[in-house]
Formats: sequence, C-alpha cells, structure tokens
Amino acid sequence: MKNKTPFGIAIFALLLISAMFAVPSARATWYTPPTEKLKFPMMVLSWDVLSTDSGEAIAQQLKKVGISIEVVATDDSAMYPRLYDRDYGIEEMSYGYSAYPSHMFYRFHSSTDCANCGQDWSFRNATVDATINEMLKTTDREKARSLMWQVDEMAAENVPYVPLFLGDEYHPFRKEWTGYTVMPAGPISYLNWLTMPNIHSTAGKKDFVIAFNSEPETFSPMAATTGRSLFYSQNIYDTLLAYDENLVPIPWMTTGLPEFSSDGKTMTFHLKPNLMWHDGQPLTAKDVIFTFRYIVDQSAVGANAGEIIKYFESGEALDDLTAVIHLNQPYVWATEAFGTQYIVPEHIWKDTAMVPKYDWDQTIVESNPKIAVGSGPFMFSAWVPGEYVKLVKNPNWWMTGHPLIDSVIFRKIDTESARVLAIQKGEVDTERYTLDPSMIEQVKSNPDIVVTHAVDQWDYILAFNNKSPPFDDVWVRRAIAYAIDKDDVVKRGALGYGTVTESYCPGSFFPFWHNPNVLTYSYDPDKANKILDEQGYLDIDGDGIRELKGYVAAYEQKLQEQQQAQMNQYLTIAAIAIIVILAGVYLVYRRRKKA
Amino acid sequence: MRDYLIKRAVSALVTLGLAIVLNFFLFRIMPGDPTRTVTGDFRITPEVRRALVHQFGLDQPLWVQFVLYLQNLATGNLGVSFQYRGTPVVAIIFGKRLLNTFVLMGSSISVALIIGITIGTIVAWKRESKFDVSVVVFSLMTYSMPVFWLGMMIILIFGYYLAAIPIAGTITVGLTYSNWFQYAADYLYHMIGPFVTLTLSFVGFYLIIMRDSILDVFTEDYMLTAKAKGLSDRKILFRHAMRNALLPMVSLIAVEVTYLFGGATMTETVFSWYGIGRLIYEAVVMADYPILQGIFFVMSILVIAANFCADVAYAFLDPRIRY
Repeated sequence: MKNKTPFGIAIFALLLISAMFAVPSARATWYTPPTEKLKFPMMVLSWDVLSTDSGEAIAQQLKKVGISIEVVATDDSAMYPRLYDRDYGIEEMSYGYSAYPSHMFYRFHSSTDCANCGQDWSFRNATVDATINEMLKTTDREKARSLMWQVDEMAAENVPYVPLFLGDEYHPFRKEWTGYTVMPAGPISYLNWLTMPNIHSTAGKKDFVIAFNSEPETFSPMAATTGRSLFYSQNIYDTLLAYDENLVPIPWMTTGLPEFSSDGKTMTFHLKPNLMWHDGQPLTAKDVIFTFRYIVDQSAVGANAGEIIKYFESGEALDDLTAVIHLNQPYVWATEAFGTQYIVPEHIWKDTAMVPKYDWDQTIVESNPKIAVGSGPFMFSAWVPGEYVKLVKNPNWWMTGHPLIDSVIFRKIDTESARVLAIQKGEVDTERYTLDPSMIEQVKSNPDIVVTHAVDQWDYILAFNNKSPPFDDVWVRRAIAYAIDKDDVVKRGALGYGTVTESYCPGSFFPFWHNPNVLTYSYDPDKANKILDEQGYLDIDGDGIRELKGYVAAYEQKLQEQQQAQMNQYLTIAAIAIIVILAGVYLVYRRRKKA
Repeated sequence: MRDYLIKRAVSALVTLGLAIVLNFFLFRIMPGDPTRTVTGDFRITPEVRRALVHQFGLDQPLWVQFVLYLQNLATGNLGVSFQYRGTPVVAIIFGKRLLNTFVLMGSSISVALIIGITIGTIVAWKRESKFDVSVVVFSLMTYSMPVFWLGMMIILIFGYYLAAIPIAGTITVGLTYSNWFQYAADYLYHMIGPFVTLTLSFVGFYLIIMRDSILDVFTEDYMLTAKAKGLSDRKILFRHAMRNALLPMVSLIAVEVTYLFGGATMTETVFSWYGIGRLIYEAVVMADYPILQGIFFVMSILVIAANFCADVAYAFLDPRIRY
C-alpha cells in the first residue's frame, strides 16, 4: 500500500481548512449598486417556492416599466449575512410571524437597524421613531391604535418595503369533527385557544388524532422556542388571557382583562376562583408572579420571554386571586405579553433549572414527569419518542364540561403525502399545519374531509436596502410599488393560495389594528412610468431599461466620444481608399506609358 | 507482518484525526442558521435570538469553538443538541433510533444479500435464458428506481388502497402490550413496508455484482478442471464457482456496514421510521451541528475500523498481499 496517501490527504485537508477559515472572516462583497441603468439582482430564498416564483412574477412586471431585475435564488446561509451587512439592493421573501402588532418596533424603528436586530432595510425616520416610542408607552389601546395607524401611514408614504401577500392556511378535518374555530393562522395554531377545548365528534369519537411532522424538543415552556414545542405548552399549560377569533385578548384564567394604574406601570390580574394544577395543588396568584420572576431570573427563552425580561420590574400576590405586576415603564403590549405567557407551578419549578438535567437512562419527560404539570385543558399522559404524544382531558379544568374529547394524540408522520393518506384512511383526524398547496384540490374533492380556509402568518414582502442608491430615492421605491400587480404575484407565486396585503397590519389578520385608510399602491404601471419619467430615470439608449438619474450628461459625453471615434474611423478608411485608388491610377498610368 | 499491522494502524489513526477535523468544519460551511431554524415562533424577539446564539456558543470565534469541540471529544462528550434543548448527543444517537435502524437495515441487507447471492449464482449459470434476462431486467429496474418513490408507491397501494400495512411509525399508536411477543409482532408488522422497500432497492445491486463475478470465475482454468473431473453441475457451481466469486462480495459487505449505523434517510422518512437516517435529515434541516458531528464521528470510526479489519483479514487470507 502507498504509505504516502494519508500525508497527501493531510495536505489536502490543511488546504481545505485554511480555505474554510478564510471564508467567514473575509466575506467578499456580493452587491454593487448599479452605475448606469435601473438594473440589479434581487435575492429570493432558494428553498421557498413561493419566494422564487413571486420573484419571477415581479421581475416580469417591473420589466414593463423599464426596470430590469435578475432573480437570484439564494440559500439562507448566504442570504442572512448579506441582509445583516446590508449587502444587497432588493430582496423578496417571507418574514414569518412578524406582522404581529407588537413587532412594529422591529420593522420600522431606527434602533433595530443593525445586524440581526429586526429590520434588514436600514429604514430611519425620526418622526416614525418618535411615534413608535410614544405608542409603546401608551396604555390606552384606542390611542395606541391611532399612533400605530400614523406609523402605518408614514411607512406607506416612505415604502421601506412593499407588502405583497400572506400565505393561506388550508386545514383538513375528517367530516365528523366539529366545534373548531377558523381564525387567522388556522383552526389549529398557537394563536387559537378556542379549538382544542371545543372540538368534538358527531360520530361519538372521543380520541382526537392530529398528524404532526415533528417531535417535541422539550415540554418546558421556558425553553421552547418553536411552534412545534410551544403547541404542547399551549395545551398543557394555561394562560391568564387568550385571543378570540379576531385576535382580541379575552379573559381566560382571569375574571376580566387586567386593570392598569393611571401611570400605566402597574397591572392587576384577578384569577378565577378554585383553579387547580394537574397534580391537585391549588393554583394561586403566587404561581403567576413566580412564573414572571422565574423568566427574568433564569433568562428563559420561551415565547414571550423577550418582552417580559425587558419590562418586568417586580410583582406581588395581594391574595390568592390577585396578582399585581409592576413594570419598569409603561408598555402598550403588556396585556398580550404577560397575558399569554404559560403559567408554571411554583411548587414544582422552584428547585428546577430551566433546562432539565438529563437522566441518562430515560427521556426528558420520563425523568422529569413534574416538568409537564400544568393547569391547562389537557394533561400529559405519554410520550413514545418517534411515535406519538398523548394528552388526556383535565377533568378539573375551570371551563366546566370542557374539553369535550377524552384525549388528543399527536401522531408523528414525517411526509405530507403519508399524512394526507392517513387522514383519507381515517387513521388520523387532522394535521398540525396547513395542507401543502399541491394537495389542496385533491383533498377538497374527498367527501369525507372538510377543508377550512384562513389566512396564514407568512408575510411576503419586497424589501429595499433604503440606504443604497437608487433605492435611497423614495420615488424609485414608490414607482416599484405602483408597478407590482399583487394579484398576479399571488396567482403565479402562490398558485392563488394567498391574500394580498397593503399595510403593516393586514386587515385579514389583525382587524382591530388594521388601518383602512392607509395609502395603497394599487397596480398602475402608467403611474409608475410617469413617476420615473418625471424623476429623470429615462431610457436614453432605447434598450428598454431606464438609465439612472443624472446619467444623461455622462451618456451624452459617451455618445459624443463614440461619434468622434466613428468619425475617425471613417476618415481613416477614406484616407486608405484614396491612397489605394491613387496608387492604382499611378500603376495603370505607368503601364500604359511603358506600352 | 508486525510492520504491516503498525503501518495500517498508524494510517487508520491519521485518517481518524482528519475525519475529526473535517467533521467540524464540514457542517459549519453547510447552509442554514441554527438560531433561525430553532426559533420558529412569531413571538420570539431578535433579543431572544441573540441570547440563543450565545447559549449555543455560536458567538465565539470559530477556532475557540473548534478547541472546545476537540476538548469535549477527548472526554467522550459529543456535545448537546441545539434542537432538543439540553439532551446530550450521545443519548440521542445511542438509543431507540439506533436500535430501529439496526434492526431495519440489518434484516433488509442480509435478506437482500442472501437473495442476491443465490439468485445471482443461478442466473449466471443459466445465462442468456429467459429467466436470466427477466431477472437482470427486474434487478436493473429496482436498482434504478428512486427509493422514496418506491416507498410512496408501496404506501399508496398496500397501505392505503389494500390497507394491508400501516402508513407510518414503528408501533400502533396508543396500544398497550400484554407481553413481549405482542410488541414484537406489532413492530414487525410495521416493518414490512420499509423492509420490502429497502430489500428491493438493495437486491438488484448485489444480484448483478454476484452474477458478473460468477461469470468471471467461469473462465478460470480450475473450472475446466472441475468439469473434467466429472463433478456435478451443482458442486461446480456452489462449491467452486460461488466461493471464489464471493471475495468481491466480502469487500462490498464491509462497505455496507456503515448503512447499519447510518440508516436509509429516504426510506426512514417516507415510512416515518424512527431511526438514525431520519435523525440526520432532521439535523440537517435544523442545522443541528452537534448531532451531525456526533453521527458522522461515529460513522467515520466504524468505516475506519471496518477497513482496518478488512485489511488485516485480507493479509491473513490472501498470501499474495504483502506490503
């Protein structure tokens, strides 16, 4: 055997490793702003068909107004660093979950204009900042809404990005099931508190089976950060408040919405009497205060942890039913942030670290059965890793008589085609997430299955790098906004399974916060053309792509130079021709003379 | 001989060292951002995401992460999974998943080998007969079929239309077993689908290799001698031809050993089989570096060890091999 082989490999590996070290430290700049024409690459997310197909549709529409776009399908590993470094001009993808009212801050506030801080479009506007700051400190929801609408209007005027559409949610149910609530994000989601307690079968079935494509990562609501894990928390743990079908907060474990002090810094929750944990212990205001304090002390990462850590100052239980929370400053979304936090039992969690210590012989839940003790509508019953999770009805839940089913089983089925077959076969009653668009028509045609339709939370937008020319010119952004036919984008990008959006908070998702008077850029290519003409983005050389503003002078000079060069060429040719003719004439003349 | 062994051992160790180093960097240059994939909830704020980056240690320079990785590896610690918060990688890999993969892959590979070797030998003997042609065509078909498509077809026809096999999982949901046999029966019933899919996908390859290998052996002089001695066809075929033709199959089997651990990602995904192949897929999607590093570390140890053993075995078996 050649003993040199390992050393050859070693040298090769060393070269490879040094190359790898070089890659992250010195990432080459990808994007150069255009210098002549309105012609630039647009990043779309390579693995998301909706993103790439919408990108192609947009490119074709913008071609009609003289803007040339090359759609570049980019993987997230390349896309996010470029977004964070603002190394792009224009990009189109879904900002999942973000059109949530409390996230307005992360879309428009200047302080979120940094790498991985929220907005990727370098939008800075002092008036917008001041309005958002004022809104955050308001406790009057009507006033907060009017401030939010102002931000929405300013955003529409400045177009830091163009809202495109929300993906749609199609949910299949076996037809014997009823009692579910169809609302934004669908009948089964972590925004939906109403479906699980009320769903029941007209055929007398008592076990509800949901096909789920992934496993719980943890049952701890303090460590879970994904929808897939938090959905278990949603069923096992209870919250002070919930949402109704229009996403307006409603009392849940409490007798009413929280009361605020006049300075907005103190909020009081009144619990319903006789609440109980799954292990039979009474649930009191002490547990509520403990939960918030625990999140702050342990730097938990669960769903609302970010806001709670930022605003929680202190809290006390006045009596068993009254929880008083002091905020370090008034916060407009305090009701939602504290109200929808999963409350955990103090008697179990007081000695438990956030991430349960691992018992080497057993799985997480089995080694820490107490970690899944909540007060929600369902109690933890069994988890067979890789197969299913079973939750059973909590007979002592405060909503008497509910849930109407005895148990809910989350069955792990990995592929969408197998999940749909399982539903058609009747082994499974529904699935956790939306139907794959390619399956919707087929499933709808099955008489045993009812398909519900709602708007989903995937918010597709077309974002500009607001600092980079020519997108630093608001008129270019506006012209592009007018030139986009959103209905066509939905039709071609999302196969028609999408809902057009016109502002930050779409009316189809958060009707209360939606501003109906916001400026919408309805599809008008003539107007887009007119704006670009007026602003001096003219197509001078007639190739169908507009030149940049101020490019005229440079272009004329170039044209002159070209003409000069051409003239010189003609002169040279003429001179050569004359010489040749003269020489010919001379030769002919000499011959004649000789003859 | 001693020199030979030492040389092989040293080169195996060097290869292992390289595998450890590459293992770390390979997944860092892979697409995907772990903090994006593990925060799939709309309420998670960018602040929390940055806290997670810190928790995962991804805010440290690459070389610091690398040194930590080496330190942990030296103490047998493969790290903690990103997605399954707080669960050690060792516990995730060496558990039920490994057992499921081992049972599924072990049974389908061995059945495919037995079928491939026997049928391959027979068709080589009866070459150019109708049986030979149809078996070769069938083998080429199953070998070139995409395994996920084959699996989906089996689910559709036998799982849905005929309702003869289950659609997903390794056991029936919610069933409690009174004894061990009931559990085994239920488990095997669920294994039919993936087992048939994998066996079909493996068998063609083994069969054709075996057939070609036998045809090679037929041209050897000792086959003529055997015939001249007046041995029966059966004896010639199974005692002389097959045993010699098995040598290339042995090296093939050494390569296939990794499948026992690595599993078949496609088949496991299609049948929701809770195994290592499925874990690899999940970890890639979630950019869960520690799990991927752990699996590939164990896999490289297996491959290197298997190769080392094969080298040693060859040296003992084949007197021509002397380095």
